[in-house]
Amino acid sequence: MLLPRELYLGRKQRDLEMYEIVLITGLFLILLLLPFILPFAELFLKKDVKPIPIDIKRRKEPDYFGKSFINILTTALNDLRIQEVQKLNPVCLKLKLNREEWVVFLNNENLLEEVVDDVIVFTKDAVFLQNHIFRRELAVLGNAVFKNACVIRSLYVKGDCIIDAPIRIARWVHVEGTLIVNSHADLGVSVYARKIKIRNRTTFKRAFAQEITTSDKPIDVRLIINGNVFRDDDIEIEGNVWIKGNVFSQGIIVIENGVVIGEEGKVKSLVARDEIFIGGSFKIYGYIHSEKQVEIIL
Amino acid sequence: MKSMDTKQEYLKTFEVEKPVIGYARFGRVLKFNKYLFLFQLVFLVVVFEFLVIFFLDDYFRILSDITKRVLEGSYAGSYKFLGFNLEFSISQGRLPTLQEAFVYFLISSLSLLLLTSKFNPLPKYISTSFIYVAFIYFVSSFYFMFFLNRFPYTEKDFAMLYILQQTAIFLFIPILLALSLSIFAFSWLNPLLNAITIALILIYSSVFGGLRYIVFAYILKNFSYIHMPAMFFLLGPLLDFIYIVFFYSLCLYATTKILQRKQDTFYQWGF
Amino acid sequence: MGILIFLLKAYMVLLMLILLLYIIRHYIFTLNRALGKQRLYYQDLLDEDLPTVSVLIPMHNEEKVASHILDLIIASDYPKEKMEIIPINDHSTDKTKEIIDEYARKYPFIKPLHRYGDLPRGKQNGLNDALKIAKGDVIIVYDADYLPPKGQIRTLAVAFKDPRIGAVMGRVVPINAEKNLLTRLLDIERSGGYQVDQQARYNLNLIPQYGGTVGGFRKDLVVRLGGFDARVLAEDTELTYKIYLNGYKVAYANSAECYEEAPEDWNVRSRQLRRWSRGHNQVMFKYFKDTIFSKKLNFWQKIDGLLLLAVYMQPFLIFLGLMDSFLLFFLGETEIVNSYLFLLFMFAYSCFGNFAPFFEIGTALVLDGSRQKVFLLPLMFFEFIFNIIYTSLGFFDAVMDVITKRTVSWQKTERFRNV
Repeated sequence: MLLPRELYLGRKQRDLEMYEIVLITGLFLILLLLPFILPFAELFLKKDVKPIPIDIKRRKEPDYFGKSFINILTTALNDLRIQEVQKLNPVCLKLKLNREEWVVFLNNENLLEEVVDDVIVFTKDAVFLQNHIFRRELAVLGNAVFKNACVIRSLYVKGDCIIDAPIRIARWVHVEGTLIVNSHADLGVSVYARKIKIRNRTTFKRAFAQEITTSDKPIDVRLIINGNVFRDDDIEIEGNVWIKGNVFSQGIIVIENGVVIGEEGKVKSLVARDEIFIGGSFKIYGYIHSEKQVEIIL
Repeated sequence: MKSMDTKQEYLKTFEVEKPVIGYARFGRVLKFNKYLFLFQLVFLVVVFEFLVIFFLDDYFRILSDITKRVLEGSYAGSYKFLGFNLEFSISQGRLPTLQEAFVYFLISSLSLLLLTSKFNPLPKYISTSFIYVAFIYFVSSFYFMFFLNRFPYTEKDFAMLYILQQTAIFLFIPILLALSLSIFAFSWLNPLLNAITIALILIYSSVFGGLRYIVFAYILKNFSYIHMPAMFFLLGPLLDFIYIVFFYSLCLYATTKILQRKQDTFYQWGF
Repeated sequence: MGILIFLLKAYMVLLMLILLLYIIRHYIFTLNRALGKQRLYYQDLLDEDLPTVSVLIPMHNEEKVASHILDLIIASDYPKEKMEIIPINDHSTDKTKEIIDEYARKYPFIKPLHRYGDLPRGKQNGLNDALKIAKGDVIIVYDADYLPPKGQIRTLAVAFKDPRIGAVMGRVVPINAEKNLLTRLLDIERSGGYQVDQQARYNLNLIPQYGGTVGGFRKDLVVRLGGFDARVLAEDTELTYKIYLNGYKVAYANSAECYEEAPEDWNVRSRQLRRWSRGHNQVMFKYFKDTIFSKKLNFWQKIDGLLLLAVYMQPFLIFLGLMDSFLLFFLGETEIVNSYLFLLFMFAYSCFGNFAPFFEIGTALVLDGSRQKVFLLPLMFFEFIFNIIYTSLGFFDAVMDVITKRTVSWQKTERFRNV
């Protein structure tokens, strides 16, 4: 169908010439060995020879992001031999953080731009009265109060932090003191503070604090569970329960109406593969982690 | 509890790009588009199976014609299978003489002894492959030394077996590769890359398979049947897998090279 | 003659079906790992009430590597008051003893166990003796050539907070991948075996395997189950089955990645493979029946458990299949008559049967973010016959062990590290 048969059949059959044998054998060998060319090239040229990289220093640290940020910032400042940050009144420095970038140090002056493209460091307390979008990190070396809606890539606060207006954080929050959330807020991927008080609808993926609470009222405990709760399916915990161990689920965790997890002074965890929903009074000493989202509904 | 309206409003206030956070190796999976996956699977299997079925008769006819041209004294035959009429040409082969069989027996036994001895300097992975080759010739030559007249095949049986084997390879390539490559469903580029891969394998298989047949037929005619077991057990389907795996790895490389520039086009979080 | 041919053909059909099962298993595992929902490991569980841990390091002539692993475990972030290190010096004739003793003088939580004299050699015997002195609730085991990261002991030990977990296993990564063809092939095979195979079994609630290193187990459980059988070479596989047959599970920690030193020499590799195959097949003979009739395992766990038990018998079955097909070939019985059966045979035996492992490894490499490593896949054909021969020899060894009830002597994998 493809080629006229006469093309082949018109000729007389005869034995192969030597060069034809060589040609056919050669072609056969080439096709046989062709698939090995790239494998051997890789074997000898070693383009992708390293084993997958394993960080030998790797360990789980809930305050990893904020700590490394402030370490990088301090190191960069030390390299410039600037010891006291406070004395730098409005000044911009080009520093090598993860990459070289401008860091703006502000003291008492107000920040007027709505969209901020540089890393901002407030050297004293800061009150945010207008809307801002911080495309890079924001650090406050005193206390911070948010009175108007802001969007921040990542936030570091050396003192306490009060959120009184809707805040959306893309990556992480690190507060060395107490974090109080009085408004709607999306706290991003990782939240770390000494204490966290959540008093309004808040979402995040993971949060670590000595104590995370959703209410000031004491929880009236009627049932105490001395141990851990591990389940492959969803977990629902409701009403006046104190679980002294960890809670871990491969599904969703729903917590409502007065639940305490862990004990004061000891870190315990609430971990779910899917969402964690928390409603009503709740207190945990330690860590909340969801691979999807933690939603505190108040 | 706040109403949905407040929530909507609250979400609208914040328009900022969600940053891309690299997915750690341990928990990532491939980004998956169910529809593209199914589309590819069906498309690749249907299209390439159709092509194989459509051209199978012609392929073997052309191969038969070429064989007829290059091989002296060949005769034609055909093999009916699954509604196909597969033609072939082959010339008469011959049985090995006792001397030939003995020489092969001697060489293969000596090789076996040498390969399994302590004095063998070759690395083990090469030795073991040679042991396999030597073993096939050992069995084959032993058989022809003692049971020469009982050898159950002629060159015609060999040709039919080869055709059946090649047909099976042709028929399985689209299924095998479609099943394995369709899991890459990141963009519309994937079906294209995968289709190119399958097409290349089929082309390679046609050319290499045809050439291999001619070489085998030539060997059977000019040398002897003593090589037939090696053709079947050594240079048979095992060989096809080398180029199939090669093209598969090539496709994996191309896929990662073209699409893995940004992690988020490729991976997603697996939990 | 007719019966013989029937039997030979029946074996081929049986083999085909077995291989078909393995193909389906490979394919499901790969799809599940590449696209499915993954099961969460316990790495995110932060808990200050960590269990007490004894880190066991079996050592026999490990002077090249001993100080590396000890330094790394000392640098671990696991609370030292809850951890002890027991290097098990098993009849070392080099400087291993001196090195360990030097460390023990400096660090009080290092408590060496020196085994000399009449004490029987071997990893299982060493572990049994160490279990007698270990004070930890959890035992973590590292082979001497491993390089554990700082937080890994915590990652592994925290799994035992879950009362259902009897053992835990991390991911093994060869550090000397670049050395030669063998180490490069082992590197990509390990990738397939852990990144895809182990994780998929963990995802699907089947039987992830405890591998005897970068892993751990509950001490009281293992002591209660009688410790390790000195006659079984694969103490890790045996423990996996003991744990599942007693209603516990093995957790697989894909995030607990640890470098090891892969064998760089084909002779060393052949002995290792033969030993693994022997040990694994010993476990198969010992636990095949129990796995079928166990009341603690669900249906799919039994299927996976049996396929896993037979995994080192599979190359031997293929070897028999090759011999079988030689015979059928010379008897003139290659399936020309029944072409459909031949097609099925091609599919299981040659086609997908050969391709399935490549699919698994290829997918693992893509998940690992490797680039040119995928080009090495065709080179794995060089291992094909090598693997069949040495695993089959290991299978014969195990059969002889069963018949003669002999005791086994431990062979150690040679280390290559250049200090």
